[in-house]
Amino acid sequence: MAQNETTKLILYVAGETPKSLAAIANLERICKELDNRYEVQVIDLKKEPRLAREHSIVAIPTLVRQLPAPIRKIIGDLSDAEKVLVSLNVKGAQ
Amino acid sequence: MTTSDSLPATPHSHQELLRRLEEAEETIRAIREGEIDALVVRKTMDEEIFTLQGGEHSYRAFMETMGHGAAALGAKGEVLYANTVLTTLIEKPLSRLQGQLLLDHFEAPVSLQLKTLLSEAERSGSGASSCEISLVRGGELRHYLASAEPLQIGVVDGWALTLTDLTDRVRAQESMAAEGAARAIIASANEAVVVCDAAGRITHVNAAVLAIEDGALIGQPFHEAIRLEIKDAIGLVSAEELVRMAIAGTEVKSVEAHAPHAPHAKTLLISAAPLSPTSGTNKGCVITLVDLSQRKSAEERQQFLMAELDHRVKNILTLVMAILHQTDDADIKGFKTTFAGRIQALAATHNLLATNSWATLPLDELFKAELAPYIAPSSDRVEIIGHRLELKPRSAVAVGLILHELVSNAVKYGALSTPNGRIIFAVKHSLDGKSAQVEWRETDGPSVGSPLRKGFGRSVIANSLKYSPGGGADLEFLESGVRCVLRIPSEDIAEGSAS
Repeated sequence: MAQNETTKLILYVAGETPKSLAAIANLERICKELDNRYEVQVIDLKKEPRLAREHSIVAIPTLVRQLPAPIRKIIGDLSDAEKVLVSLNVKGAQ
Repeated sequence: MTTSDSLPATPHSHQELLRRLEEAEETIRAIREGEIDALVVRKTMDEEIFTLQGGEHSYRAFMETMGHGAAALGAKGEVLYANTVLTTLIEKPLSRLQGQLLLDHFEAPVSLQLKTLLSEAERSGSGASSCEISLVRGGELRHYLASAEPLQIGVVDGWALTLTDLTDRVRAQESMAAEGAARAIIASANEAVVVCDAAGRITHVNAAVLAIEDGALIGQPFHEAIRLEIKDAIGLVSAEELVRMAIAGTEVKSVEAHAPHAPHAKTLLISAAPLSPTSGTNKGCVITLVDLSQRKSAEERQQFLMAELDHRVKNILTLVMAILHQTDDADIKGFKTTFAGRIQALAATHNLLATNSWATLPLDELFKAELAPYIAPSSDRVEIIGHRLELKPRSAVAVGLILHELVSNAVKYGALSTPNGRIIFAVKHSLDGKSAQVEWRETDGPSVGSPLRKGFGRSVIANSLKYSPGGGADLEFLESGVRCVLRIPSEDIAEGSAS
């Protein structure tokens, strides 16, 4: 992944379930490692269930890396930051 | 947590299908491993969100706090998740259980029970089915209530299975039943039984204890409630010490003690044993108090009876020898008849005495028994006058022999030898207080004269009651008939004879 590309992330949550809240908090921490070139959108599927269709979301929470392509999904509360960064291919995988 | 690449491929390309499959597998894995707590279920028109928990904790945290063994099982009975209580029970970590059939981790009979339970749960469709199972854990038998209910976790059908430990409840029930049985045993015991708790205070007593000490005993220290003096004690041994030893686990056997404050002072034999010594922790002790007074009295009575029997057998043999020597009929036939008659008279008296347990014998019964072979005692030729006398065995044997001689003589020569002769049997008050007088009088019979020879019959009549200064008999051959006055010694007449 090129360093100058903006990373677009969408976090799908379900209201204030513990895993959803944990995922939001964990993602905030992780984003600090992304050199500010990121854009984060949090979608609450409790309020807008239809939005799950776009990325075929089944389990919540799920983080979708929309950009850069290809799309990647990370299922879970993102508690293992190291693993998330590796999966997002933004650290150590350049 | 996992990732999945989404490749830019045509929707139905092979790679796209692989991606979707991988994503589905990862989703299921994430569900099993508890990495998510909500699911999106796509319906015809809309999506719907199902959270797997409510409140602050995930469903796993909820399962962990249940306190019961709990597992979420997949459609085939494979373990999706099992809480710590259950994994501890099965003695395997969660990592070795997940994905495996839960029932394979139980012994065959229990596995079969659980299989039946899951089938029932599946058939019923909703609501919990349950059954009781028993498992040996840590070397002891434990009882569980197994409960299964169909469950849908996101897209997965399965079961919720819980195991609730009933062991304490079952043991409490068994303990109550055992205590009930113990109470019944204590209540039915003939000996006095006292149960004390670990502090030596009385918790149970049976009815026999009240013969030793009455009043409020429950809750009192044993040594204060039941006042005992230990026989030959040197000061170190006390009731308090006996109870303390028993509670500490030492059995105390057969210590003789005296209960001076009992309603009837008693000699007791005390034994004390720890309660439930097999359980490891003594909960108190059981004390039995055997009343030795009764036993001693029974032993003394037995000794007395044996001595009495010995004495009587010797007396009878002597008497038989005397009868034999003094029966002097000239021919052998006459001898046999006379001798047999006298022995039978002796036997008749003995029978009557035996019937009355060798206690006392009513004089009129003796009289009727001697007359019976010759004339009905109810006949109007026989008249009994005066008060009823109860004879003790010694005088009864003597009077029996005398009456036999009088009856035999009357049958041969006197009032009973004719159809009209009568016998009057009169019991009179003693004039001197040393004896009771009994008169045998024959009337309306043939005139009699004094026999030329003084045989054994007259000797028996004259001497049988002379064993005491007040005893004896006077025989007269009056023209109107024989008259005999018997003097029965007062000491051989039972108290309470009706006047």
